[in-house]
Amino acid sequence: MAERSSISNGRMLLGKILVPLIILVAGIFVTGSVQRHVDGLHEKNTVNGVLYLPNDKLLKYFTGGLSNILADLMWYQTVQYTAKEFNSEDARFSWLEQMIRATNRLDPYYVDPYRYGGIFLAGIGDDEVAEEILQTGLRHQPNSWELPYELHSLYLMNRRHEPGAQKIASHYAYMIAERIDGEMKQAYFDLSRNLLLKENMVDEAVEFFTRAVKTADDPLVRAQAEAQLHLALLEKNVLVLNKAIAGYERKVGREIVSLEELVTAGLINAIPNDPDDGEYVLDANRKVVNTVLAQPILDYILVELTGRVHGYRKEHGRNPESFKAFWPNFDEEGPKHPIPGRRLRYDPVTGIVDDETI
Amino acid sequence: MSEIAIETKSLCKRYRSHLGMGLPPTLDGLSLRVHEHEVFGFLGKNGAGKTTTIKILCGLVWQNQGEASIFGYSNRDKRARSLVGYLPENPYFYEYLTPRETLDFYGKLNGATVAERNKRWDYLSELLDLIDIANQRVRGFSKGMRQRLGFAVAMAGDPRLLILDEPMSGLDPMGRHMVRDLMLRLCEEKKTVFFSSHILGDVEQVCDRVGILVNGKLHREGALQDLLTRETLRVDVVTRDVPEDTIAVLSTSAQRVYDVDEGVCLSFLSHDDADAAARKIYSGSGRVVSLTPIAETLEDYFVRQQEDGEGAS
Amino acid sequence: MRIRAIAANTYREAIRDKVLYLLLVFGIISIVSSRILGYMSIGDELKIITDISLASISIFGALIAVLVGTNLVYKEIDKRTIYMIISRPIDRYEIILGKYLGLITLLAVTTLVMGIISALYIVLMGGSLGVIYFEAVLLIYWKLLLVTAFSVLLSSLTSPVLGAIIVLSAYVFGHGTGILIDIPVDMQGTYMESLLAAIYFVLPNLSNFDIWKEYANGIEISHTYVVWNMVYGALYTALLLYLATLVFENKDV
Repeated sequence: MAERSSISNGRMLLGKILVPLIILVAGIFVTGSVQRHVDGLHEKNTVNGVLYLPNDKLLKYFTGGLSNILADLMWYQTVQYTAKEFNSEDARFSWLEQMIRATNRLDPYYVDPYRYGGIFLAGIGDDEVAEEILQTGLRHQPNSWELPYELHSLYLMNRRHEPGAQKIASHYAYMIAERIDGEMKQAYFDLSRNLLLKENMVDEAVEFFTRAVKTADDPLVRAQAEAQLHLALLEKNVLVLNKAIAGYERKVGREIVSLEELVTAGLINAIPNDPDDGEYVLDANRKVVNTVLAQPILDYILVELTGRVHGYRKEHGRNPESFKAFWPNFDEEGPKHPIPGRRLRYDPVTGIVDDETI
Repeated sequence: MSEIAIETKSLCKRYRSHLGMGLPPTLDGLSLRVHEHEVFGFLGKNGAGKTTTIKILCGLVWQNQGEASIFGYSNRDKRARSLVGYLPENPYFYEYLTPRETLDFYGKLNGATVAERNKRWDYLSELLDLIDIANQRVRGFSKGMRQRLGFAVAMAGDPRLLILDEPMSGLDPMGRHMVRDLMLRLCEEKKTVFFSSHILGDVEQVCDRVGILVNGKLHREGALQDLLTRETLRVDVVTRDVPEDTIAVLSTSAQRVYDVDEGVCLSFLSHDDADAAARKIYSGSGRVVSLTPIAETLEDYFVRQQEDGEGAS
Repeated sequence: MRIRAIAANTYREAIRDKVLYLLLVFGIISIVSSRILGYMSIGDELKIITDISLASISIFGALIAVLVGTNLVYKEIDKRTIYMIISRPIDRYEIILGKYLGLITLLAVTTLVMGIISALYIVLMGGSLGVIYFEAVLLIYWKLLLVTAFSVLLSSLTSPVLGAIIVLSAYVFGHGTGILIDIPVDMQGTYMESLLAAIYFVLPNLSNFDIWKEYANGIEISHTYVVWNMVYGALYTALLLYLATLVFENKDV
């Protein structure tokens, strides 16, 4: 009798624990499988994971005092977005400016979005927007050194061909010098002075971007600096080649015909031919042109011309007949191609502008 | 020359419903007077307004009209409350405190110094049998223990007047006995006690005067012996083994005839009728188990007043 | 003496409310989340860490102020423990003040603890603390004084749930009062502008207490600004407490 009751007791206990346990585990399995099935039915659209703020002014006021945190999150989103665009083939960065501005509005004192936002925007060619954003940042954070730093970089590289670029870069370098301490303080004062004196800033650019590559701890920023450094080195090569040509022509008393002459004359070891560096070509004035450096100029010209074709088509209802038709300052051949040995081409039937080798 | 401990003059209170609308008045011109050193029983059926009256006296609720005063101080004056010890129905405490801590806290609210609080604790804990449970949290207390603690809190400031709201409700007979003794003891100590109650049997045993609240007004007030007619209401004769026809004959002069455990009970309105019946039974067969004159109890009086009051309005 | 007794009682009861566990949650959430976000984002990690730490002090403090505060008077009335207090020779305003003091003492302790944890964390991550850090934490606490007063007021009026909703809404809106004076161009000069401006001055301006935002970005704040904000906070808080005592004076319990 006692045995039977202890067995039935044990069975009851087992039932009390085991049965609920089994039910729970089975239940979770079932709900889990249903969840999987539901997920499979509906394709989650994660392509555009950008946080769109239609009216960030409203959001700024109704965050219960957390607009700063929202700015931090927004900035994080911006970084992720930039990285994603950077790694995709069809990079357009169409949201970048808006995201940066939204972050700035949420936290006007937050330096990083101004700073790195400026870098990113300058990196994709939006120099003017970059400068505007950096200037806004400087207004709110007048004591920062990071913002003058990016502004001076902007004028050292992206906008170095503009008139007065050196003077502006020098002004920012001075600002940096005022605001930082340590060994770099003197260096920036020196730079500020040198920029006003020297014409050519290529060496300074190389030096600074070499340093930027070394000190950058974010891969994205380092990639930018490396790209800038590469361009600066190409500029330096062009400078060296031009100097060598001038020296050669003085030495032999006649005009140079091809760059190989410099090698045979022993002025340079070899013509640089890194596949990433493009080609070095002599133009009509015997100045060296590098195709990689010239590419952005070509791109710019093509975009401009295409735009003019479209404008003409809108106005007159048909394609213009020739270059002269839509650009009166030019003759039939159109504008000068930045790369020697190539020329611009326009097909009035299709309305397409491109180039070809001569 | 005893003072007036409690006096209300035309006290009116009307509560408002949730929507802000007025409900029928709870107190409609209550005027009563309690003298010092009295034990005053405040009676009324459920919802009559006894608790409201007490709350007004203790400053929990404000009256719409009329005055209420304690030893001459208006109920709005906090000096009135320094003379009162209040025990609400179902006293509520902070569950996580012990009786010792509870009394210490209320002592501080009374403005007592540490020494005074300790002395008071010694006295009250002995009086109310709290010593054994002095350091247990209130959370697990039974109703009886809470009531004892409630009394201790009410008496913490050695008040001249104790206002008790249904002090015996929910207690077992032991508990009720304790409360009764306590009230008698308070009486001995020349304290004034004002309490409301339903348990009329207990009220009868302790009160000097009673007041009955009907329809928001004091319907009757006075000393117990003055109110209750001590005349005999009826005489009950309980009989056994009396033959049917005898019962039938006796029933004609009886007010009521009914069966009880011991046999058959006949109620007569006068002693004479009862005596006559008893003699009849003695002369015949059958036994008289008991012959009891019944006077009006407070309960009878109460019910009568209730019906009277409601009939009047 | 009486007020102090009530304050001590309130303090003890609030602590038992397991409110302090919230502090632990604070510590973990703010440290972990700031670390993650700082690591994944580009730029100054310290800024993000400071932001989240100080925002947490503000939020958790507000949560305590609201959740405990709206319960303060209501619970006593609901549980009838207030009977034994009001029936003592104590004024109604003393009860309200005692409860308020108990809660702000608790808040002082929790703010201090969270402030110290944040300070250590910031210093550990390479930041510096100046007077402005302590001013920032102090102003957060000052903001909480105002919120607590509002909670106590609501506690005498309504249930804790409704009260909490009202106070939290006021908390959010109180930070955004700037929108009342940041109006679109075509609204300027109209009577609407004056009306909105009037509302702006009446409502509590909670965002003024948030100098921690400037601190996180390294911006200087003048001490005068801090002091005047404290004056404003004290005045507004006093007004709210006065309202609370008025309400409680006339309440039937």
